[in-house]
Parts: sequence; structure tokens; C-alpha cells
Amino acid sequence: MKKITALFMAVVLCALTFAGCAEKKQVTINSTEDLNGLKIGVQSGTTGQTWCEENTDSEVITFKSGMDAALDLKNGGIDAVVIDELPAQRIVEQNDDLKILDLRFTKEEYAIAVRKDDTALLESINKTIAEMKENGDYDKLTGAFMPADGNIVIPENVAPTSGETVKMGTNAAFWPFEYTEGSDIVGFDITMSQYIAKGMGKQLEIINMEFDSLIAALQAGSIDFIAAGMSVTPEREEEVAFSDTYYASEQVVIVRK
Amino acid sequence: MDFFVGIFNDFYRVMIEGGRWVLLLEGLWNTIYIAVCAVLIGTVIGCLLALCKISKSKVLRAVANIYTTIIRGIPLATQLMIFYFVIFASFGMDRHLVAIIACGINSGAYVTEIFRAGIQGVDIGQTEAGRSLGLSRAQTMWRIVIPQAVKTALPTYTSEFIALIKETSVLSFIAVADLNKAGDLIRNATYNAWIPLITVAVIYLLITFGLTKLFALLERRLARSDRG
Amino acid sequence: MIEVKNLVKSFDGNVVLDGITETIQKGEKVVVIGPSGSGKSTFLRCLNLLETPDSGEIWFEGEQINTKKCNINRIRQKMGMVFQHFNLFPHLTVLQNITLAPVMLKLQTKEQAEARARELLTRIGLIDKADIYPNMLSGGQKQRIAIVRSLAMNPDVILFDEPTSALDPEMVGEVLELMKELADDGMTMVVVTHEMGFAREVGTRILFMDGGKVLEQAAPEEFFTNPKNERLKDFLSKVL
Repeated sequence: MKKITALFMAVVLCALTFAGCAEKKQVTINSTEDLNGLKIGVQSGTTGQTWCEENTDSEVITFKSGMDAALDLKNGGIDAVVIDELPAQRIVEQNDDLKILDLRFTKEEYAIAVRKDDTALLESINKTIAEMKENGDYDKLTGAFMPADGNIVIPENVAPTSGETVKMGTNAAFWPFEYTEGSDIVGFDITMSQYIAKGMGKQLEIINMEFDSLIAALQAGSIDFIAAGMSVTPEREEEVAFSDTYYASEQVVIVRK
Repeated sequence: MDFFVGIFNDFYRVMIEGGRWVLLLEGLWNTIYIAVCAVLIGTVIGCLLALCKISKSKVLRAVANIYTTIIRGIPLATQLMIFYFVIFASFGMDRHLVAIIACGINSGAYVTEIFRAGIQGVDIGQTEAGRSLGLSRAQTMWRIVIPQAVKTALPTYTSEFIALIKETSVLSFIAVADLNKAGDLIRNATYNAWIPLITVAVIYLLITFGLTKLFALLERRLARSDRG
Repeated sequence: MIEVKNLVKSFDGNVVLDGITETIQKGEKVVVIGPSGSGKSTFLRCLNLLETPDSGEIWFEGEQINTKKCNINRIRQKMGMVFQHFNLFPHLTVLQNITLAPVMLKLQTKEQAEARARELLTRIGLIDKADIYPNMLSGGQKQRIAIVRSLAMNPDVILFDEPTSALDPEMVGEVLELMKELADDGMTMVVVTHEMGFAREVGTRILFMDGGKVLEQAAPEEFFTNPKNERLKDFLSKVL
């Protein structure tokens, strides 16, 4: 009985020590160096994670979505979140106590990923992207999902609704590129994928999974292409083939106000 | 032969290069110490609540029943996120500690049922014999019923511990870098899915298999003492 | 020594004890017989409150024991009980089985209790079993050790609840023999049993129970040779 009591006391003591460590400290970040020594939240498998690991001497903590990281930031579990610009804006809009720092680290460009040997699909995608940029569909798309007045109007599905399917993998936690509206997965990448499917004359099947599982799923053949706001990086290019880029973004830092 | 050389080269590139095996070691450590701490908390909770469950007091029984019903009715991943993002949100508590508490509370509910079944599995005649000798309820429980209950409950108790080790793989929901998460990290860093996944699977298997054997040995020892 | 007044007990609406009033004097060996379901075991178990009566009074050595005020644990130290299924503690050695209660209740030191246990074990010829576990023993040995376990508390009375019913026939003798010795030593005993020979030889008074009532009681000679109650006659004609 004494042993059990002692053990219990030890656990409680540990608990208090742990609890004492964490407090919501106010951080000031003016440069990359200021991130050193901080706890930084990122979405698992994103360029934000890679960038933090390669360029800072910080503790990088990976979450399943940017929103989870933001929630932990609010709660004081981490000091900052590094994430793509547009989802960051959305997070800050919804959380009064968070802000985006006026600091830009890396420029990067989103593209669609396909298996390296799938050149036919890659050509078809590139053709669609080029056409969209030419005929104004691309501008309509940015207008729809990144409107100046903030009111998103989701375009109608343009892909065929019967016949053969093409499988697109995404991670619907990356506003406004892919997110859920009611029970539907919508977003910039989704509509663009519909154009791609239309160009192939196929139905579009959307498969929603963890971001860090997308490349493995593509290589395993369970999806045909990835449209998930995925930035082109040399590491990824070793594994997959990227289409022409379709959007330029930046990584930003979110902190508590 | 080329096949094996290929595997070895892949393994070297994924695990050894860049010291990524260290991630696995850290993940393994997190998995083990969180599971061990959780099972200790779970055991304390389980003991107390099992006694509540068999107590005469309606209030204590109700408390224990509500606890086990709620905890056993909700998946661990959901509980974990509720603990981290809701209940302990404003305390700014360390995520590992929240993981230990959440897993401990979860395990406590199962251990409660295991201990209760163990205690109620002891023949009522044992209690009657103890009480008829003039021992109090508590003395009878402590010296006669519980030692026998422990012996019958031990196999299910140890398999609960093993189950808990496997269940901690949901810890990445609150960004704890456990063994499973370590595999994810390596997968992300190398874009190789099968080597980290298979490695992690093998490590889990070795732990659970090893523990199963170890506990079986322990149980046999205990059973032997029964026969003198 | 034991006084029972108007004892009533029912299980789920079935009346098992229907107003029993009985007095047991020091030194008596009361044997309770009757068909199964007659309430005789329940009666015995009420005496040390293993069953709580619905109404009625139970007095032991001048103290009413079925009240909230009474410390039943202290009373039970003076009332030994022997069960049909022995109920030895399987996780303890024979010696530990015997010494557990006296030591735990601080009636004796560990050394005193062990010495007494060894003395008792020697008396019943089982001293060589002192350090083994109960599941290595035969039924008869188990029951004799169970009797010794209750003896070790130096009780004023021992209650026997069908002590030979779970035994193989060839083991019944050794247990009855030990009970006879106890009786000869002057122990007060209340015995529920089906052993008519034992009742006749050892009992000082025999109670016949049926339907939750004591229908007849007498000294053994009178009881067996000249039964008056019809149901007792019927019962004896079947068992004798």
C-alpha cells in the first residue's frame, strides 16, 4: 500500500513539474534567427515543416492540420505556426487572438503531382492548365475562391458525371484550395481538378486523406494525381513529376497577439 | 541477391543516412514511457473504482458506472483531443503529460472492469469464510479476496497493457511524436512509405510479442506458487 | 448461550424461516435435520449473520447481535463456522490458513498462533501438510483443516453447515471422527447434517425443520424411536 501511495505521489509531482514548465509566453519574431529555440507548429509533410527543420534551430511539432496547430498555439502549447499564406489568413480571420507576422520567408509554387511514369496524364494536365490560363477560366477560378470582397462563390462541377473515373487525392484542410463546405469537399484545387477531368473526358473522384500520405498513395497507385496546394520542392521531385505551377504562395508565421 | 541488396540500400538511405533512426528511438521511448505511466495511473484508478463498483454505497457505484460507461464508449483518439484541445487547453500543459493523463484515464476504465470481474470472480465462500472468522469487510477484501482476484485478473490486465501500447499510436492527433509518428516523419522526409511503416510495425510486434511472452512467464510463476 | 426469537427470513418473497424461536445452551450439541429447502442452512447462517434476518432477534452471550450497534466481527471471533465446501484460502498455505485470522485480529502473536496451529495439526495428524497449499489436499483433509482453522480462534461455539455433504463417502468418517472428539471435549456445536448416525451418537438434542419451522425436537433416543410429527416420520422412513 505504501509503495502504491509513493508511486502516486511521484506521478502527481511529475505532473506539477510538467505543468509548471508551460506558460503562454509572448514571442517577438523579426527574423529567421528569432525562431530558434521556439516550439513551432506545422502541418505534417508540408514545406513549412521542411523549411523550419532546415533553416531554424527550433522544436518542430507536426500536426494533422494547420487548424490543429493553430488551436494548440491559442492554448499555449506552441509559440508559432508556420503555414501557407492563404490558409493563414483564414485562421487569423477566425481567431481574434492570433495574428500573421509581417515577415516572409520563402516563395514557393503549387503544382499538380503525378507518378513519374504517367507522362500522358502529365501532358493532359499541363494542357488543361495552359488552356485555363489562356481562356480566362483560371482568372474566373481565382475570382471565385479568392474574391476581393471575401464572398466565395463555388463554381458548378464541370467534369462529366458518368463514365470512367480519375482519382484525385487531396487533404481538405487547406482553405481555400481544398476544404469542406457542408458535406462537400470544395476549393480552388477541386474545381481545377474538375477541369482536368473534363479535359480527359472522365469523372472526378476525390479522395480525402492526410497530407503526409498523399505521395505514398500516389506511388502505390491508389490515386492518379495530387491536387493539394502542394509546393514544388527538389525532394518531392525525386519521387513524383510535377505539372506546370498554377499558384505562387509564401510561408508565413502566425503568433498569439 | 540484387533484391536484398536493393532492400538494404533503401533501408540505409531511409533509416541510417541523416541519422533518422534516432527519430524511431525517440518515438519508441515516448511510446513506452507514456504507456507505462498511463498504465500506472490506470491501475490506481482501476483499483479505486473497482472497489467503488463493489461497494455498498449507491453513490460510489453510480460514479464508477458513469465513469466506465463514458470512457469506454468514446474512442481514445476523440478523448485525447478533448483532453488536449478542450479540457486542459487553458492550462498550457505539456502535451506528453496530457497524453499520459488521457491514456491513463482511458486505461483506468478498462482496468476497473478487469479488477471488478476479478474480484467478483472469487467464490463468495471465500468472503464468507473470512467474515466468519471475525475479519472485517476490508480485511477480508485485502487479505483474502484481492490476492486471489489479482491472480485471475492478471492475464486480462497484462493484455490491457499491451493493447494500450498499440493504442498510443493515436497520440499523433495531439502532435506527440510517438513510434507511429516517428514512422510518419521518416516517411515525409524520405517519401519512402514501406521501409518506415514496416520497421515501425516490426518494432510494435517485437514489443507486444516480447511482453506477451514475459507476462506468460510471470503468470506461470504465480500459478506454480498456487500448487506449492 | 444463543437465543433466537421469532426469526423470519425470506428470499424474493419465498419465506425460508417462518418465525423460529430457539435457545441453545452452553455445551449442547444441537443437530438440525430436515429435507433440502427446509431452511436449516439459512437458520444456521443467520446465527452468525452471514444471512441478515428480516425480523426477529438473535442474542449471543447476553448481547443482541442483529442490531446496528453490535460489532459483528467481534461476535464472530467467538462463533466458528465450518462450510460445506471447506472454503480454505487457496493462496495461503495450510499453516497460514490457520494463523491468518488470530494474527490479523491481534489475538495472538505470529509465534503463538503458529505454535497453536502446529499443535492442532499434530493432533489431527496433518502436521506434515503445514506448508503446502490446500489444493494438494484431499476433501477430508481440507475439511479437517477448516475445522482446525475455526478452532484456532478458540470459539465458544462452532456452526457446521453440512460439513460432510461435499465429501467422497470414504472421507466422511475422518471428519465425523474429529467432530466427535470436539464434542467430547465439551465444545458447543450446532450442526446441520444429513448424517443420522452422527446425530444419534453425538447430538444432545435434534431439531427437525421443514417449511421454515421447527416441527419437532427431542433428545436423540426419543427423536428416532418415537417421532410424533407426520412429516418427520415420513422423512425418517426415507433416510433411515
